[in-house]
Amino acid sequence: MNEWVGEDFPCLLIKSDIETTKIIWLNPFAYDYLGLKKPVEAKIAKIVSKASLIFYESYIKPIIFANGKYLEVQITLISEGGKRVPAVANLTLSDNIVYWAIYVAEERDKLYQELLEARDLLEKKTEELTAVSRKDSLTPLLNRRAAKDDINVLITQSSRAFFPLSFLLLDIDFFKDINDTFGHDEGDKVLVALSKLLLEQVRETDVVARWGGEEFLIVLYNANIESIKSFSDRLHNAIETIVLPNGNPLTVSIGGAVLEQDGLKESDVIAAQLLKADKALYSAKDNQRAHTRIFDKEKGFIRL
Amino acid sequence: MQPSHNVEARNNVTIHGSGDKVIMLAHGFGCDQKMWRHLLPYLDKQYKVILFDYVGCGYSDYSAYNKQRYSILKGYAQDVLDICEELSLEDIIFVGHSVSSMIGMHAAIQSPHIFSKLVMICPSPCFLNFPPEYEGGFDKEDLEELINLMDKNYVGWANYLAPLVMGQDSDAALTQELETSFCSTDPKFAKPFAKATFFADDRAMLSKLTLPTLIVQSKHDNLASTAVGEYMNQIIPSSQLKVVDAHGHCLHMTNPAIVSSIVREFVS
Repeated sequence: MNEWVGEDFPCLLIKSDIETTKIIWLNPFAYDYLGLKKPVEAKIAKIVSKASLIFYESYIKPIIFANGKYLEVQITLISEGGKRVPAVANLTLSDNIVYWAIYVAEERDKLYQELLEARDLLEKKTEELTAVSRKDSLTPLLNRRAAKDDINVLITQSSRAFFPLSFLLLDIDFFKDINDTFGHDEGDKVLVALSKLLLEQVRETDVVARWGGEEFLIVLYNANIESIKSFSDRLHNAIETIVLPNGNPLTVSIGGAVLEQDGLKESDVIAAQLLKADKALYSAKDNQRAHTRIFDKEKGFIRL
Repeated sequence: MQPSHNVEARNNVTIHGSGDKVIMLAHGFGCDQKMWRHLLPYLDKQYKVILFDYVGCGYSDYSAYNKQRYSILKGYAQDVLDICEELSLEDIIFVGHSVSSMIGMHAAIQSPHIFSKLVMICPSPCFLNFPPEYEGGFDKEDLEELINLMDKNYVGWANYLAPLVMGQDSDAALTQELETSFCSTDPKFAKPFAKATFFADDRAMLSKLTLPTLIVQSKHDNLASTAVGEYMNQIIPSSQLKVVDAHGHCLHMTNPAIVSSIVREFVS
């Protein structure tokens, strides 16, 4: 029986200089596989892809520098004839020489590619499901839970570097009559039309949600009473363009409260703000509806 | 409600040595502040040295990670500015490795009063080739392969799919990874950083950088050629270029003595 010789090992064994990346020794299999001629003057850059080179500089080199080894790292080899081949390398470092043991891993690469695709698909599905779970079932607005999540993010930001948040509760005037007179389909149409209009009126940084049946919550980012006034004037005017089947314009009542810095100390900031906004809303409803009132801790309710 | 974030903890800020002058060392793509451990002993006798990890790297607070913010270099620059604000730093010398040079440039253009000088180690304002006028070294396909390679190398880690399928936080897996290495390959954080780094084109910003800037280049760097350094040196108004006769992209690790003496000379 023939004695085993180096040529028989179906893997690439390489020694390279850590500093210059010059290849200083290879086994015969590596010579053939990479199509290199003796004497070899190539550097690592010659036998791996450019992406692998970035990976080498950003990960492999710092890691073997620190830990002396890096095992099972996937790279792309450039084989004889320029073919790109996925491969797995084990590397160790000793006396400034990097020892590479590389095996070609085309099948493993296919499996990993499939895993990645499966993961990407899962991620996409998760994103889709998340989006669905955040939406209100009828209108294009956020539902209550999603709105709370988003408002909490704003509150966290505001407590890092303060900016005022304005909470506005909006309620459709005489919605029950709309449903009773024109039917629930017509009522739904009004809800959808109003929702679309609300989305057109707010900025991307604001939060708009369907809070309950005919009640909506708007949280205006970085907005004080003056900005609420101009916003609500615009809003009431725009809402009047929605016309009911009997020719009357739609109107809404709005109650608002501005979240000041001391309001951030509340144990449930959202609930505390909503309570104030709700009081202002009822004050507006009790006073001929179709306008906005703001809760102010010193002046009471301010009609805008 | 979450408490307001403490920036020092968020960015794992560590302060070394003492001195009137403050040097901030900012790590590049791939690893974390431990990359500076070779250079640190040369600097901390004379200067106060600030190290940190960008959010999504090293021992930073991963719960502060925001996908949108950290998909562009400006988001990382905000980390630098946040730290300077929290520590009330002014007139600092900012030393950035590789992409952190560009991150430093973003920060310095946004808030010039915080910085007195900028040192860029192995920088590149753009890794992409735009033939014929600019040779960044890489084509789009190379960088796409890099993203894929990062993914595939992470598949090798245990618990790869588990956090996603189980809907768990990946902190446990991450901790495990950090025990074995200081370079994070978790694609959730590393891929956006890779994209922000390698797909950036900040050439147009170079002329707006008014600070005295030192560009330290490696003569044989696989990622940023000396031509890139010369290009930057021509455009940045008050820059100087030092080419170190060395190999590789991690001069601060491989040649800390030379790098530190160049930095010290520039600072004083």
